[in-house]
Amino acid sequence: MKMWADLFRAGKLKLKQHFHKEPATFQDSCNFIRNAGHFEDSRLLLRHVAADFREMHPNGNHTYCCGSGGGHGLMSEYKQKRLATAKAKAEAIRATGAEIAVVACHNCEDGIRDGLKAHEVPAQVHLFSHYLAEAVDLDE
Amino acid sequence: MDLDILKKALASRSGARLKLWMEICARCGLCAQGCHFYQSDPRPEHVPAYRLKPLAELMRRKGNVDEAFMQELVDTVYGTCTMCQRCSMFCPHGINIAFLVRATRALAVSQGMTPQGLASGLANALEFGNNLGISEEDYLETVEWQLEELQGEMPDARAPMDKKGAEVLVTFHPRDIKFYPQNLYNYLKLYNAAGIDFTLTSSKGWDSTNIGLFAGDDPAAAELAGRVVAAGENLGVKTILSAE
Repeated sequence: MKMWADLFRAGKLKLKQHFHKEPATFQDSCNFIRNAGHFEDSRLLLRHVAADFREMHPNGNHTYCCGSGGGHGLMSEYKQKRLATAKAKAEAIRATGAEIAVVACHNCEDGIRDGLKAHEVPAQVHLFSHYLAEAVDLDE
Repeated sequence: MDLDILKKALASRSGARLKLWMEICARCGLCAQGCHFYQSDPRPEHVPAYRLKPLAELMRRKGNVDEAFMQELVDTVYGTCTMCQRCSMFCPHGINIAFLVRATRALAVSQGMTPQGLASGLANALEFGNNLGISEEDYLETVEWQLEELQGEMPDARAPMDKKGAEVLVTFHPRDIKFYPQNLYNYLKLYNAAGIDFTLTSSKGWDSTNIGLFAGDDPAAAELAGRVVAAGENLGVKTILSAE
C-alpha cells in the first residue's frame, strides 16, 4: 500500500479520479493501519479513485478486527465463534450503506466476506489491488 | 505432555516485558470495549484480560499443569483472540495483550498442541515452500498465464523472473496463485503501469505469508521469513513487497 501511494504521489501510477461510483468503505487492517500506520496512504488512494467514499465508525487505529486475524482464517475449529463475533464489523459496514467494502489484506478479505454473509449485509468485498487496478489510467 | 519442555518454553518466554505486563494487569476490564469478540458477544471469557488467565495460572503453578488445562489454554488463546491489538489501545497501562497471547500460544506449540488448521498449513509451508502446497511448476505457469492475459490489455507488460539487481521483489500469497489468479493480473498491471523495475522469484521465497507467526512457532516463523529475505538478498533488490 505504501508503494502504491508513493508511486501515485510521484505521478508514476496514474489512476482515474472518482472512477468507482458505488458507495465504498475500507477495512483498516491491523497490519497495515494499526501496526504499519498507512492510514494516510490508504485515504489518499481511496479518495482519489472512489466518488463516494464512506468511513466506517470506528475507523483507523480504532477499527474493529475483520475477525480473521491471528490464524482464524485457517482454524475451522473455531469458525462458528469467528462468524458470531464478526457482528461488530458487519454492523459497522452496514451502517455506512456501502456497496463495496475494500480490503487490503487476504485475511480481512475472508473475514469480512464471511462476516457480511453471516450477518446478511449486502455488500461486495474487493481487494485494494483489484479496486486500484480497475482504475489505472493506461491512456495518459 | 512433556512438562520439562513446557517449563523450558515458559522460562524462555518469561522476559521482563512479559513479567511486567502480567503483573500490572489490574483486571479492570477496560479492554472489553476494545474487543470485537466482547462487542459482538459480551461474555466474561471474551474480555481480553481473560486471555491472560491461563498464562497467569501456568506461571503460578510453575508449569505443573495437565492436558485438560492445556486444552482449555488452547481454546482461549487460539479460539478467542485474533491478536488484532485493538484492546491495547483501551488499556490504561498499554499492555500488549496480543504479545502475551502469542507467548501463551508458543507454550501450546511446545506440546504439539497447535490447532489442526494452523498445523497443517504450517507443515505445507515448511515442506513445499507455501501453505497451499503449490508446486514450482504450477506457480510459474500461473504467472505466465496471467502475464499473457494482461498483455491483451497492456502489450508491453512484463513479469521478470529472478532478475538480478531489480529494485523491487514482488511476492505473493499462495491463494493468489491457486484460487484467485486474477489477483496476479492486478498486481502485474499496477507495477507495469507505474513502470517500476521489479522482479519475481522462482525460489520458495515467493510466498511471503507466515503461519509460524500466527501459530506462535518461532523457529518455523524464522525459517519462513528467512526464505523471503534470502530471495531478496540473492537478487540484490532494495525493497521486498509482501502480498497485498
